[in-house]
Amino acid sequence: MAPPQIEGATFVGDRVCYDCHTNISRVFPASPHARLRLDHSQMAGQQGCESCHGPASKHVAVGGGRGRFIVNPGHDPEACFSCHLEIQAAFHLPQHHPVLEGKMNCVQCHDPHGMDIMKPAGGLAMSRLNQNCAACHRNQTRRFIFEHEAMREGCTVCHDPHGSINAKMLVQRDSNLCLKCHAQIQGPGAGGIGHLYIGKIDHTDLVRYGTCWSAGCHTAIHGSNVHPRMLY
Amino acid sequence: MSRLIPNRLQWTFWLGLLPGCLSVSLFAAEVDSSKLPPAAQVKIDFTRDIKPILENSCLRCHGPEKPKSRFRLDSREAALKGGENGVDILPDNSAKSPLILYVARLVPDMEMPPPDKGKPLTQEQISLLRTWIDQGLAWETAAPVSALAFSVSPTLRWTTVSGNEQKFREHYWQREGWNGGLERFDSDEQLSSDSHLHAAGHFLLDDYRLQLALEKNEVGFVHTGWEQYRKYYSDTGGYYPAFAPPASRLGRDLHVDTGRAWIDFGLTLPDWPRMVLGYEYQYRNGEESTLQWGDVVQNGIDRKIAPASQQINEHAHIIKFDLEHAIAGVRIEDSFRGEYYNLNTSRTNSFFLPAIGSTMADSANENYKHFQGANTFRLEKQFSDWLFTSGGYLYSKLSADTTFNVDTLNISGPFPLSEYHAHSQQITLSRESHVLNLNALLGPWEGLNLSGGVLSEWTRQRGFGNVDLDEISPGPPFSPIVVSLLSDLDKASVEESAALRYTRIPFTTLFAEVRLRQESIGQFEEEIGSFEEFLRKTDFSSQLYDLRAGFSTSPWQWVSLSAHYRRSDDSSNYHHTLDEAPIGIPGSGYSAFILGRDLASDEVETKIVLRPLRWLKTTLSYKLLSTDYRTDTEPVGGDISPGGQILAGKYDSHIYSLNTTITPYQRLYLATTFSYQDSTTITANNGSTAIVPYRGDVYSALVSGTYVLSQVSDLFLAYSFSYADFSQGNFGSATAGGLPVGIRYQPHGIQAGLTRRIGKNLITRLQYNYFYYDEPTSGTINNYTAHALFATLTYTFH
Repeated sequence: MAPPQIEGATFVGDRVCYDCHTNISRVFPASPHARLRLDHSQMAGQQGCESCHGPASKHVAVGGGRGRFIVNPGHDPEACFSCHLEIQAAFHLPQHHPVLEGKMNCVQCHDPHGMDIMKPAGGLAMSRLNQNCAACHRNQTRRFIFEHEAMREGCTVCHDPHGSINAKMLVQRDSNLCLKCHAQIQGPGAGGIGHLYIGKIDHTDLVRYGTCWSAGCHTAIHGSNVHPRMLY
Repeated sequence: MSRLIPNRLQWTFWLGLLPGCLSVSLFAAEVDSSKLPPAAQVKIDFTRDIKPILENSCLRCHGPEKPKSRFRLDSREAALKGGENGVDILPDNSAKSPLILYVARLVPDMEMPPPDKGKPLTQEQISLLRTWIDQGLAWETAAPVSALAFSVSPTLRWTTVSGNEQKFREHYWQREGWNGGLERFDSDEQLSSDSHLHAAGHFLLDDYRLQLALEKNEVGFVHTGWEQYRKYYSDTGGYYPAFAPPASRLGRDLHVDTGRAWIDFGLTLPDWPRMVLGYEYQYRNGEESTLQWGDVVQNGIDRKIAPASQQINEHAHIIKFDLEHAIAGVRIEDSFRGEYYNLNTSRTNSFFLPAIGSTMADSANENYKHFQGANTFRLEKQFSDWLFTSGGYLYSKLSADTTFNVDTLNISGPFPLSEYHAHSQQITLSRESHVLNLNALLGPWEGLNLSGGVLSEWTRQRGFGNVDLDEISPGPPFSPIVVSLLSDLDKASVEESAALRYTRIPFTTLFAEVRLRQESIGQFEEEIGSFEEFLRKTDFSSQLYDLRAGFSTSPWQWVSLSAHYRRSDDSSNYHHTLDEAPIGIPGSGYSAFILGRDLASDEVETKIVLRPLRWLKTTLSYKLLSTDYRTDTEPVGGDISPGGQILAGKYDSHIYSLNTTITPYQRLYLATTFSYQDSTTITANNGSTAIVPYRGDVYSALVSGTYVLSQVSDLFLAYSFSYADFSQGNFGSATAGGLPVGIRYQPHGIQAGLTRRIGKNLITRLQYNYFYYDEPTSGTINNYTAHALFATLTYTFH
């Protein structure tokens, strides 16, 4: 890691941070980011809080305070990008959550200090599946009479939450997205090579029209209140 | 001021102070002040003599934020006021001032700084503090900071786009033409020593934010605000190279405005629970693109590529109440959310029905609303230096109802031969969940930390309703049959996690983590009365494990290295105890075709940071991800499928990233990030010419540099580029090939700017942006070139 720089400030060590930021500091050893914390590091700034927040001597000297001589990655993703290089690149892809545009920030979805990186401001607690996405995407994560069982495996089975080259931030943009799970296996009665059965229904010609969700068939892909096969 | 206080209250006020004064006198009398170093015989200069002592040894704990014992040393007024132990400084009497006795370490258990919080003050420093007090506690002689600080950045922008302006808007979250307003404003007014008013935000075209905060220490706060931004959508659909034209546009300005307004009232009285009562209104309104594309038919070939959209109108009203308190070392949190949510969507999609040679139009309207109440109660306690625990309980209850109408109409061709109407009566959903979470953090022991948790959830969901369905009647009149829907779901799941960190190896941390989940769902689904009626009862169970192990190390000043391996496996089993479609005929439903699923993933990630020179830092990372998707299927009669397990899909990806930061001399800062990813998704397609493997590469490069031209001028230059190639060639005749939805594109972006400071308060910035986007896999319909000019002025006052 390479900590952000604060002009004129030096590293004080995260014992000092503990005094004021007790609730955050005491759960940090349980955080996934504690994987990177070194008790004794040769490279400067590898010892915890200051790896991401920058050297804190000036912040301490003025008695603390929000944003006073300290980096707040919650407002500016640059500190996160210094390690998560592929995520920075993903946010520059055509379809992305508007983090670079300043309309979202990393800590809306992630807790950098807590036990579960997927539970915002969660402390020593665990997140529930899809809880992050549901905070904004109520339409897609709401309850249905007929649910799509893929939702049990999480939104990220189909969507890349940071950025994607595909509309709706899908991980694939063709029917392979669905066929990964909705497998085909055929016997002699299925018409031979080139015929595509999905379950018990011949889709050979249907899949020529487009993708499973864009060809006008399975339009209610997150779930349906009227149709068990999610046609509406 | 005393005139304003009634006599009886004055007595109460002075009596209240008495214990504090008495405690100072009695306490001072018990301490032998003769052991104090003498006061220094100098004229004190606060900035030279005292401020460094306070900054280095006191303000860490006794600053304005969360001061220990509520004693602050950041202003003369606060220092004289004292803290919860009474008055700490007696002006002109340093020998009796508790502060001096504490820093001289003459009071047991009150040594300042405490043994683990800093080095004891030297005799010389204590002498200076004594003199400072004896000379009247002089404070900062510099000019007082203004009570008001603000900055404002008006901006004027002009953007021109040639080509697909809708695509440009979607990519860059802005529209072409003139734009202007306030890029940012920030104002902070110190109303008194312990209260302030803060306002901040921005006002640009279709992008607004205003937030206000009025805060008074140890009393409370009011936070309020409103924000709204616009998300734009491309209006193009799919692309089929054999058609003329191969793609089309809706020709409508598709966008959705997303916003929220909020107000929170907080109470932060000393020794009281911290309480926040708030209300938030969230909304989304507009027309968004959808991927439910309509038909285009040419030369007997039908492909769904016509662009589509839907109207969306979404509102959520949320009542919030949060409480936080500590009793006997136990931190208590309670959080309630009550949410009323209302959603209306409306869309019309056309499609061609080859069987009857007619173009049909689907018109679908849905209204959904729910009320959900959820309360989370949580306790935390630090039992000892090595044991910290927390536990929480969440209860939530949801009650929803929805109506859905879909009408499929024949809008071309001969007399309507087939239409479909589904008009739901009220459909009702209810859901109730209990979630229990227990966690613990243990250690460190000899460099070992252990953390773990258990999360249990019980959920019950009921859904039922009736739909008036007319599947076959050609045109009016609407001749419905009533279809009954029923769906029940009972879910129980347990998730466990544990993590181990070991830090005793020099310059190294080792870690190992495991996450397990067991889930069972009893599900019942029924549709009675339709031509596709069915009955299904499924016992679902799944087991997940997710393991990770790795290390971080920094053995030399110029290098740090981390790596991990991760393995996860999510195995699901569907035991269909009932599978009837139509009801009474077992084993013919689709859903029951899948008997089990297994997702197995392997991940390897490594990262190395090199800093061979003070001005050069390089980070290299590599990530491998491989997932196998296996599905168990049941046999299908008529020799269609023998059933069994199949490798349904396989995903492989490699990501290489490189970041370099160069500061060869003070005037120049250069940063580059490069990322390359190749990925392949293959599914078992049995030779279908419509489905081909989804594979390709994505390159991304980001370069930025700042050059300091002079003490008042900076030059900024940035370049971004990416290239992706997932193009597909799977198109052909009506009965061969499919729709090539793969993509190949390359965007370029250049930003060049000049910043100039004028005087102490003014900064000007002039910026030029260039954007270019080329997407051959959509012909030229999505291409654009854009130029933008930004002029921004920032005025700062404080």
